Amino acid sequence: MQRRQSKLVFGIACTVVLAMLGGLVLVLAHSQSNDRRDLEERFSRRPQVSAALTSALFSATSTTPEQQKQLNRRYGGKTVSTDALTQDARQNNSVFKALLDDQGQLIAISAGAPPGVREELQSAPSYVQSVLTGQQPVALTDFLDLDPGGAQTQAFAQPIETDFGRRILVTGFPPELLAAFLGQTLSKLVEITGGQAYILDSAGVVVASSNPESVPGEPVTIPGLAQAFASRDAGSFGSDQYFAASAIDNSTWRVVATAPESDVFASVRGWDEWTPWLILAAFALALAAAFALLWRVLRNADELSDAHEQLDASNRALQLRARDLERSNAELDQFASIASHDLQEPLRKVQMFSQRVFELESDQLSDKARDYLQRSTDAAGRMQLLIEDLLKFSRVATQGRPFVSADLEEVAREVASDLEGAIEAADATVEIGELPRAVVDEPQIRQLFQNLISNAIKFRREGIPPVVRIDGEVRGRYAEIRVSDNGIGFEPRYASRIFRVFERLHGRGEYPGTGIGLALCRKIVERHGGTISAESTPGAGSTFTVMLPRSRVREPQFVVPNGHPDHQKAEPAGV
Amino acid sequence: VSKGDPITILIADDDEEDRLLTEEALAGARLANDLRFVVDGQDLIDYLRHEGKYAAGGEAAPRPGIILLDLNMPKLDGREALGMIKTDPSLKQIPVVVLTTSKAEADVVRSYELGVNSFIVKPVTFAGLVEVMRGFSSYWFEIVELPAPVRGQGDAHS
Repeated sequence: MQRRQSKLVFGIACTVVLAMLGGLVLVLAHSQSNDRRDLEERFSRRPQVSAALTSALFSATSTTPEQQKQLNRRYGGKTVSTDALTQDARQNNSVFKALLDDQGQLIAISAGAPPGVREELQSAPSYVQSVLTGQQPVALTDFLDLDPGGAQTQAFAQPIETDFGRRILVTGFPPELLAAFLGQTLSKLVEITGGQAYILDSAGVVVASSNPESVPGEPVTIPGLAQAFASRDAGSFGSDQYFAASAIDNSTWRVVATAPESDVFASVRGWDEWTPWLILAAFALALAAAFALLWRVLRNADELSDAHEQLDASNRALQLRARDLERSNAELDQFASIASHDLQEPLRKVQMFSQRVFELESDQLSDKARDYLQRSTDAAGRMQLLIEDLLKFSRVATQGRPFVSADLEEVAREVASDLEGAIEAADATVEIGELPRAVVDEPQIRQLFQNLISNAIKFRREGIPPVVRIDGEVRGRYAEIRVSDNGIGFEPRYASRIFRVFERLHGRGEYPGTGIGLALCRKIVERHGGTISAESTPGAGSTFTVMLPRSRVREPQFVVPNGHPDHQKAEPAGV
Repeated sequence: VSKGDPITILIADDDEEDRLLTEEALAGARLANDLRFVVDGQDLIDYLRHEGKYAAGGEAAPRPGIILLDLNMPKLDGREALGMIKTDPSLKQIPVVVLTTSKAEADVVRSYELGVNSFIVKPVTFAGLVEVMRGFSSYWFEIVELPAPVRGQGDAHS
């Protein structure tokens, strides 16, 4: 639950921060584009102003009353002499001057006009028509190719209001004439370093220019400019160049200003452009790092809580299993005690009735019958011992007592004193050295010592009084206890077999016993989390080594709250 | 109360052979008391309360001076029967001696908690059993003073 919440919070935080970053990007981009637009507008205002001025200049030549009066005087008469036109043309370096009547018909033309002029004017060109109809006050044209093999000519049409209607005066200018005249104003137009200004006609031919490299009358040669300005009024072109164009009224011309983009937009380019973005990027990176860190922390917390859950689950499983074992142990214990009672009952009867027969019918029995009867009684007795030992064996695990700190030396001495009878009967000596303390199930360790000492005395060599030596020492976490004897010993290859249940190395006739004693020892030691081993030299003696943990690392038994009360059930001490 | 008085010993044991051995051991201990046998806890209670087959007109059930009780019996086991006897005001004066093969400490403790008067573990040999019976009779019939049999139900049958 907690985990989901933290992930949700993390997700929300991420989203919020992403949205904030996005907003910042938009604001920054917007302000930068605003700045750029301002600069674009400011730049394009230059050609606009220039175009307006240029247009006004040409209009003024024919629209003021003063001008009209003067023109009327020269060209408003019933007849107009070619000389006047020729003289005027020569005077202001025109290529030609021609006068058209109110129908657009040629009245007169200056002498020396290029051969194509007459044809051009008789074809009723649009610039003449638009001035004639009053659509435009004056008209300026693209370069006209009126003199094959000669220079290009620009035509300028202006109206003259006469008593005979509106006449049109068409003046042809050579390229240099206007170029020189307009070029001076253009060179003042662009103040930016590297900036240039041009007046281009609709075909992209240079009318005038601040750029000495551009030749009037020739198409503009600046790379990319012709294509760019044909389709747009402003924009980037070529490499790092910006232009803005503005049409000149009453003409096919446009004023085009160009400048290096980096200079025009100096305040929104380079460091000025990128610094805010860099700061933003750095900020975003820092945030990403912070989130990555947070994510790791969250994931670690997840893993931790996963681990906790798994631990809980396995703990629960263990507890369930412990409870199962507890129950089955209790059942086994119950079974064992019932079995022991019910199994022993018939044996007891066999023994008792056999004894009754001995007592009552002793006289009538043959020696053979007495022998057989004795054997069956003995067999029943052995069976009884076996059952009792098996019962002890099964109870090691099920009827253990709480572990307590015990002085092993004291326990060993008490056991030796309990076995005094047997020890004396065998003329044995039991020597007990210093033994460490350990946390043990004391009755079981008592049983262990009893079995080991009895074992040592039982397997004595004939004619040699048994000597049993018990000593030990601390070995790290363990208490080592050695029980050695001078008995018959055993072949080393049997060293592990002797600890198995019912394992016997000798016939029952030689050494009595059920074959459970050492198995019981091993079971007790293992319940304590220790080990038992034996080594021997046949005919010289054996040494049994027991390693017992000195303290409980963990309770070896399954201790479950509200466990089966059988655990408190006590086995009579000294069994 | 002397040895000559006809004190009835009631023996509750489900095992026929044990009943036989106990009877022989008592004979071996030269006890001449009136011996009565019941085969399980229910039979014991019926006997004491004159119910079931011991009801009026049925089998005779003289009130026992002492009861020898086995613990492991079918139907009603010795522990339950003991509990019933010791909580029955008309029966609780009768001394009850547990005679069982069980050595379990829990049984010993439980029996004394229920009010048993003695707890004896059955010896493994017949000689041992005879010895126990001799001690039993000497203790209960020579040393100990027993309450006089309560008049009424027990005498009605005689």
